[in-house]
Amino acid sequence: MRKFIHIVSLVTVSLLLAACGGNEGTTETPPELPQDEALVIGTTDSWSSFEPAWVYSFHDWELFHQCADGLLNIVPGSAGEVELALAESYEVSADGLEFTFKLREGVTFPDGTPLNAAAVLFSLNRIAPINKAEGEDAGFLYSEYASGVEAVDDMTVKITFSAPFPFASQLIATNPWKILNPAAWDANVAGTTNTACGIGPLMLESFTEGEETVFVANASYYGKPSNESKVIIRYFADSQTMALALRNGEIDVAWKSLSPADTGALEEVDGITVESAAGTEIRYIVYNSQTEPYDNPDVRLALAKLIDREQLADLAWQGIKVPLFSMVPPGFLGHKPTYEGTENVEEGVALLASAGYTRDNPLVLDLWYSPTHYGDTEPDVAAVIKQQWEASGVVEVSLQFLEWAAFREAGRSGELPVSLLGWYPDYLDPDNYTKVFAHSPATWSGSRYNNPNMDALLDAQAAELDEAARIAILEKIQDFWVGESPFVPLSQGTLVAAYRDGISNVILDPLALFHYFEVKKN
Amino acid sequence: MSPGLRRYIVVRILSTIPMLLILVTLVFFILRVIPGDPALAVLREGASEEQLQSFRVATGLDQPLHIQYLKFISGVIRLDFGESMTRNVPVIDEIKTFFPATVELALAAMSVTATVGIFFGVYAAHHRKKFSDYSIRVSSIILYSVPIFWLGIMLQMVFGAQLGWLPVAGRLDAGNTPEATITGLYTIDAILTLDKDLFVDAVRHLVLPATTLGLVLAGIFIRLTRANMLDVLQQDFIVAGRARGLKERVLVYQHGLRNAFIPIVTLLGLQVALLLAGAILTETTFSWPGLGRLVVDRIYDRDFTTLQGTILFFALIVASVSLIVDVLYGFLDPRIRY
Repeated sequence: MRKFIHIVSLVTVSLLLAACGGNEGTTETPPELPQDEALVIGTTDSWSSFEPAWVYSFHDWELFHQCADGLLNIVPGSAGEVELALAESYEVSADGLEFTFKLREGVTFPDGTPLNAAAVLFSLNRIAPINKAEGEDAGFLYSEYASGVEAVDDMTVKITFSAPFPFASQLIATNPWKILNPAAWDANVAGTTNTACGIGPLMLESFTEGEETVFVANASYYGKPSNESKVIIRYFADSQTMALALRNGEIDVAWKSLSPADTGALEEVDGITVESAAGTEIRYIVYNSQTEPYDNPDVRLALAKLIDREQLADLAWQGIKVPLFSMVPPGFLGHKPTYEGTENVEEGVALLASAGYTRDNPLVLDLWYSPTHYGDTEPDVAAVIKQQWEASGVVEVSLQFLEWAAFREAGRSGELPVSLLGWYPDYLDPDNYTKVFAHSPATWSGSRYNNPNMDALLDAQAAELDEAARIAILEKIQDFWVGESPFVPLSQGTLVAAYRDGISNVILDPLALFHYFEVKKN
Repeated sequence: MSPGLRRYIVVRILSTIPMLLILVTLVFFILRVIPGDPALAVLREGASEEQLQSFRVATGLDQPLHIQYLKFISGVIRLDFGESMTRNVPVIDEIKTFFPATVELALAAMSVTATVGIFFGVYAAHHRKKFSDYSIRVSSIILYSVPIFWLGIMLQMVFGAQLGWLPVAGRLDAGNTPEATITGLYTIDAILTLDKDLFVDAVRHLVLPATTLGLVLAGIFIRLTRANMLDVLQQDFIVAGRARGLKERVLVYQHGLRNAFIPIVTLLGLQVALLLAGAILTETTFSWPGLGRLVVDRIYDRDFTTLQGTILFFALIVASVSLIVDVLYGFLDPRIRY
């Protein structure tokens, strides 16, 4: 017995020592990928609903994206380019108000129900009642822009918009506009747990909350079939466990969201590829423009000038995000990096001096952030900004944080004079990076920024159908933005996926929707 | 069952009711006092005030607090915990989905705790002041002090990432989740359906989380068992047994352990609350889809209804186990009469 106890103790101590040894620079080869098995993708996101008319989260949209097309789809990997999906063609009226879609002939839902104008009308007309019953969320992407839909004939529909929107086709490719099977969905009741979807390369076979979602290939799909016959999504509580599961061979792909630390560790592992691409998520600073001294544009700009974005990206985000010099990210129509070259401590100090802040009378401010919502790195982000501002000698910063729900409540009610926020676009258009922020009354962000000149420019770009003319307006907005600095862009997110040898065709989409059906497992 | 025991059980059940009422009332009001509007937590960042208000109306948050409270209490009386604010499904369905995973983990962890705790506690008491006694006592303190998530991560690193012996997350391998379950406890379901592959898969996934949670709780168990055994081993009946030539193993493990069992059973009962608390951290570390993880997720979402229902459910379990333990006393110790 004594020997047994000693052996147990020895094993325990050995294991602890082995564990404490760390894994930096490890180059062990993970177990080989099983052949002819389902493709397994890990995520730290969580499911909340399958109801496309209402739900508003990336993961829910991503799940639905696999098994339901719209009249138009976003081209995988593009920054907002649309392609025909369930529509075989469409025409736009000269005034930009009417979109007439001709549906694909002979297309059916997986249960054999035919795709026709009635299915389109059913899908779009249920958005309003569903949103009314559940408390409106994603439905605004239809109801705030479209004024109605009608059947021209059995295979043709006409959608009328309330105004000419240059980004209307991007709106049509969003989740609430997906076409559902009328035989499988209720017109007035949210299908929170309804897995019927619509017509997509994959079909949703089963779902176990917190454990996995299983897709199988849709044999009757009209378009390019899924590369794998079975795709399983596994849910993880955190990035670290997901990274370990990838190394352990429990998953083939680790998708949203790997932390910078886990990304770095996985890059060192043989047999695992880490791929990254620019995303559409942006991070920025928001001021309450109605409170002193942030009602003074010079103070807002001065603080912007004191920020070194390169250093911020390297130190706080460990290179997983890139500096952003305009609220409109690169790759979007009209992008102009107007904050480039504005980083200048001397000019920032001079602007603050003109506003009355000096070394003897520093600007004392609270910088607010939410410690978990934007990942574990958020306290580091706040700390680096504090250090950069305080390095000027004329700013003193206290870091303050609130958990997300409280943070949002306080921010929205205007209690947070300076805070850190982030943004994922609803649709891939510069409108969603400009007007949604700076057009008065700008209350949702806590900014309360109100400038009639900015409003006029924002309204003009949203109504301009001529691309060249719109680009000119967008550039003007970005130029004007720097002097006003109601929001200060900091960084652009990077999408990261890590996958094992044998996995290919991983397309990192700027919209952050992973195309499960494109991935190949050899 | 004696009339005294019956009376005791009835009184205990009745006394549980006000306790639960106070608890759910506290939970209800604390959730509403802490900052964070569920509408803001759930809806998109750019939602308008009208959209936020529409959500509040849909979820009943627009009603006066006392009306919300009365609706909640009347629902609880009918065992209707309401509908999740974030998932639009009945809370009871959420509990049904996540509870089996927690029970499976808790039972497995309790087995580890009891086995390790009792075995090493008795061994240490029997070898008092010897090297093995000191080793076990130091180990028990270390186990009790180790943060659950740290131990979990270490086990994941060693047995998962480095040795590749065991899975580090989830309840089953991808794609193995059965379409229908009997109890929701995959190990039990596998036994009932004689599905060997499912059983092996479920046990492999259980090993690391159950060991993590079980070992941490075993620390206190080892010390308690040792202390009680030391008392018992010095009593006259042990000395008399030894004088009559009874085998040492029989004396220690049969006569000694049985008499030291009452406080151990008490602790087992109390451990249920600790187990559930520990399960929250263990479930997060191992991505174990149990009630603990559900609570953590819904706290961030400010999903009041799910939180109220789940916490009440936790309380019901702790109260029930506590009652069962009290009743067990009577069977374990014939001197105890109710």
